[in-house]
Amino acid sequence: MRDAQHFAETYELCYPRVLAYASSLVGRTTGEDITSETFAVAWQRWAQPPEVPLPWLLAVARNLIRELRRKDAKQYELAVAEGRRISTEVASDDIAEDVAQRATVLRALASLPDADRELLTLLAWQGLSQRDAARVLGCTTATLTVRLHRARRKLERAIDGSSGAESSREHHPLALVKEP
Amino acid sequence: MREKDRKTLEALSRARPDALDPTRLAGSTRQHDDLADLMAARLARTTETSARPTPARTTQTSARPAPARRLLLVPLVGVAVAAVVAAGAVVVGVAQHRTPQPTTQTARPDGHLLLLNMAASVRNQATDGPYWQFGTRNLNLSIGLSTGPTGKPYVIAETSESDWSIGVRPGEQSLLVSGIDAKRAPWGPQDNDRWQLAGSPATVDIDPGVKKSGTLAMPLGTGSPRVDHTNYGGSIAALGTKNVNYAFLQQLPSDETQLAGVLKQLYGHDGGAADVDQQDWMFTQVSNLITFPVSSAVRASAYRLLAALPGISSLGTVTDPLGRGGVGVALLPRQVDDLGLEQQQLIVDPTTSTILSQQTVLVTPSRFAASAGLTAGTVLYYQATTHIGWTGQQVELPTKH
Repeated sequence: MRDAQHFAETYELCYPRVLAYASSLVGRTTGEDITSETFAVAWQRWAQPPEVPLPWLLAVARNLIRELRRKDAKQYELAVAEGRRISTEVASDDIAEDVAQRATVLRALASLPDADRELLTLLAWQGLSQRDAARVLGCTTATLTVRLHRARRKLERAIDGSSGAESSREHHPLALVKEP
Repeated sequence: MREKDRKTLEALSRARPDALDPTRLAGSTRQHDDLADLMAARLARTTETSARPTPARTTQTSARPAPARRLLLVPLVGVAVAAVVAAGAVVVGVAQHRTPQPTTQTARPDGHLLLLNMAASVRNQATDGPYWQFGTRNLNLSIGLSTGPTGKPYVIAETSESDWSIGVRPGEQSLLVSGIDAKRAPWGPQDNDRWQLAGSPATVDIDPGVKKSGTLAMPLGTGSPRVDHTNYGGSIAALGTKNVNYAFLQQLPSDETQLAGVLKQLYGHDGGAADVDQQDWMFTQVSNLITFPVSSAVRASAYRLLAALPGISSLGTVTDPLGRGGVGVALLPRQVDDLGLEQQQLIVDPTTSTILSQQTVLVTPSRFAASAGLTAGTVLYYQATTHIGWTGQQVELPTKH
């Protein structure tokens, strides 16, 4: 018998993280569907549960998003635009002290290619190690280190030169997830 | 990683929009419904293969996601991860004050002798019905981390009752009603103050007590009870990770050496019980076994087995978390999570040898636990027996809200 308790525990722990990741890529609504499908897939395969579930679940979610791109390009593009919006927009009711600095960082993030944004947020927002992020993205840790180095440089440059970068997000195509 | 690199990632980390904060995404209706759907599909599959269909009716009485547990067994230590937060009034009589328990009142006899006495006073239980029922009142303390920029961690208490009814005749159902009067809230006045200082978050990040496992986002408040079927095929209980049927329980040897042999074999099946110490594992499983529908000879043998565990000590005459007098025994304190040195204890009614409370007590708080205000002697977890024995009536299911 598959271990339902272990699955339910993993579900409670990981659901919000998978949803956060999926929402950052395709927005909340599509993100919820992707998260739902992710756990359905996980449950089917739970006879051999992964030792470290989160990176595995995120990789499943990522594959499902790629499938969506193949199946419905129109819906995919709308969803990606929504994902980009919620991951780079400072809430208007945000009253935290560091709101200005956070806005700067998010604007800088919005100016990066989607693949860089995804990589950086896997580490900074999902709290993954470089090794686990490499698992999600399906590349080697060495490749990831190089990509991370470049992405971080780009982000730093964007933060340093962020003034007037408001419309920079328009400059990049909606090319989300690039193949490694 | 360069200092500047670290700072860049930290700045990015702080800039995460609230809409993508997992703690804010936790506990949605969609989350619960999805799990319920997955588990319902599983129940349907179980029904197809089991001798007796599992009526969907029972599952529907639960407003919460259908259960996801291996044959039951309320864990002796640990965080109840499933988000059971149930309806109802404040639990009356549960230790809600910071009263260190248990209080030793007399000289301590030897733990080994005390358990042998328990073994000798086990009573025969007349089998006057097909249902073995075991009701408990439960508490689990954990540390809330959602403190805001200047706040301190605080203690979150989860309280509930559960009622487990094992149908031992073929075709009878075994049901676990859990989360009765369940509530998750700041524990004492100091915890409430700190929680309010943090902005009274409705969902609190809880330290699961296990290193490197991240945090758990737990909604505070109350919820509804839920019903779990705990018979799968003929299996009615779990020993270690093995689901066993009533015949297995009836055939357990009453000789403690042979009983120890059976359990050691199960310990081996439990993956060497992963990272669980064998003494702890034995203590937990044997304590559980005492609460199962086994013969009085096996129950006495189980007490003798506990008596033979290395490092078992007596706590003397103590008061259990529900205020009842009993005698206590304990294992050596161990560091099992990041709260400090903890001790597994068993409090038993000396006249009937009924287990009053299975509990974990903080012996030496870690700096982290102390920062949340936890002191030595605090009962971190208990499962206190409210009733146990044979009955002719199946457990009452909670009414649908």
